[in-house]
Amino acid sequence: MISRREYLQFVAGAGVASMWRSRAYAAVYLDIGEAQKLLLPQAASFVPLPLGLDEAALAEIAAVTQTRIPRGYSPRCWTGMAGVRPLGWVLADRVVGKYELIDYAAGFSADGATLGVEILAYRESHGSEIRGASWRRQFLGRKGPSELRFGDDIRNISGATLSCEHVTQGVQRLSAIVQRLVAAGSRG
Amino acid sequence: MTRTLHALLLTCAGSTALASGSAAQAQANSDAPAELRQLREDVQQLKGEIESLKAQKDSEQPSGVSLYGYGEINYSRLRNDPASATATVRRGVVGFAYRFSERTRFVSELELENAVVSKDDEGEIEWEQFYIEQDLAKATSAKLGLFLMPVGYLNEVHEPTRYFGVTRNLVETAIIPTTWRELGVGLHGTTEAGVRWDAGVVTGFDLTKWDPTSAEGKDSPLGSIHQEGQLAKAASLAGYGALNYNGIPGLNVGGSYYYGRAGQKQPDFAAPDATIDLTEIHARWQPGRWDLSALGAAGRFRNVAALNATFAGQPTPVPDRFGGWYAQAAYRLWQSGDYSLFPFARYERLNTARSYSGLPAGLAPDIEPDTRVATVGASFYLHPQVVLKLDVQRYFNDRSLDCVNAGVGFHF
Repeated sequence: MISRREYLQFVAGAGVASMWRSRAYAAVYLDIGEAQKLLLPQAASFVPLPLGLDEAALAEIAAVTQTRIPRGYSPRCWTGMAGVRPLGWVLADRVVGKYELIDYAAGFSADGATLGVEILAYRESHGSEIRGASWRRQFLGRKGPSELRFGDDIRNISGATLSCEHVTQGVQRLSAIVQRLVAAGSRG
Repeated sequence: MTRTLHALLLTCAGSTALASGSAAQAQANSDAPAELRQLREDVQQLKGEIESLKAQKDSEQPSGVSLYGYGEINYSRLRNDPASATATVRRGVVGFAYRFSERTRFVSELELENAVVSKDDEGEIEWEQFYIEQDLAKATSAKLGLFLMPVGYLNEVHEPTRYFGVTRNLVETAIIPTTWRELGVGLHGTTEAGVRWDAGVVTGFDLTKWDPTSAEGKDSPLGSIHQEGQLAKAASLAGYGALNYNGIPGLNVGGSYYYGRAGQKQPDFAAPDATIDLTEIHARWQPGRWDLSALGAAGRFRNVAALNATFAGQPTPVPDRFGGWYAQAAYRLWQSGDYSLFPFARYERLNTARSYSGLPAGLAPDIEPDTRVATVGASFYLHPQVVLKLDVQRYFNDRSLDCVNAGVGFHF
């Protein structure tokens, strides 16, 4: 029999996930639940993790990634659990391509390495080549923003430069957040 | 969304009530106070999640409207003629897009060239794009309206921050008439393997506009007879197809083909069966700091001999063949924060009239040698969206055309 705490965690997870699922626009290729399973397939459940990014944290992320924090920046984070053991994190965010929002999610292992990137929704005429596996495969195994530099570590797709650049910068910021989570975990 | 939020809060409230109501029963259990505190913390956490989601929703674009654009200001001077120095607001483009739904959107770009448009000025204002796009499937979309042809590199992506050199390269202006747009219907899509495909039926060129007394046809054969969606004759339509492979990150190879009748079924026109085709191939490789690209394009006018016979003795008859190619290399020499420096070099070779038909001996203009141009310069980015440019161009066939160019460009 589940405890009341487990019940509330389930309700919270289902409710938050349903908010993403309710945005099932026609341009959506994956919802967050599907992305979570792809990015952390060993996880049996995903527990929302509030990031509590205050101004100091955002300034640190901006400095470490050498990117600008977009207006209204509020990525979502879930801890992937196998029983009581955390396996890693899935974070969801959105960036502007040329002029429309791109929804994407990235998975990270417990030591902060990137496990994958999934494009959840792409809404523009051009640049949807970033959905291709070969471009997204470049992110695998990279740990920390310094290993996710656009142009150096992550190559471009001609004709999709803005989308490639902005999604890469977005993943850099998510990776910086994950590095903070890893550091916090190691401090106990 | 609102209903979902309310339902969720009610669920949480109910669960909290359930938890609270059961607290009395759990009083007998020595863990009850701690569990109650944990439940309260969990509810607070859930409220925080909801507030964050609401904040994120507020940060979304409030309507379906998007605004974007680009601009460039250029200075140019012939090296050996100071009086030729010219500065101009070369173009300012504002794009409007409206998202009716996630499947349907309107896309447009309005361009103003050379600052002032009036009867006595040389500026132009035009719709560069004006179309409706509909997503048909997850990786397939259709366009209906005035849209850019998927030919070469610059025709679809021509913001000044996206190409090297103050001015667009000659092959993609004189041979491919960038920015080449037509009215019609187009389909495009991408595959899992990294292939992008385009195909469509569009309005074509109007050969009845050819002026044999003007140099325009020599500057750009297709540019002199394009219709650009302005009261375009649509009796003869054209078709196009393009393929691009992007399956290897940093590498693009592709090509396109256009074919269309150009006589437009106009009565008493000397070349009613005239056709135009343009074939183009390109490749771009971006390993590390390098940006290497090459492109070749070749075009043909067919069945124009009878028309040229009426142009005998004129300076600009219709060519049978025209074409050119270029190779370019750029290198990210330096980068610090938003700043970066890219020196580049480009070599181009083209000819807008390789041969003629239908002209009696002695009345055809001389076939001029290929134009060969080398451009060397640099782009200095103040920000990824703002670039300062400087280059020098050497015309191997006519040194009087050697020039120095400077410019600033941006996109947003």
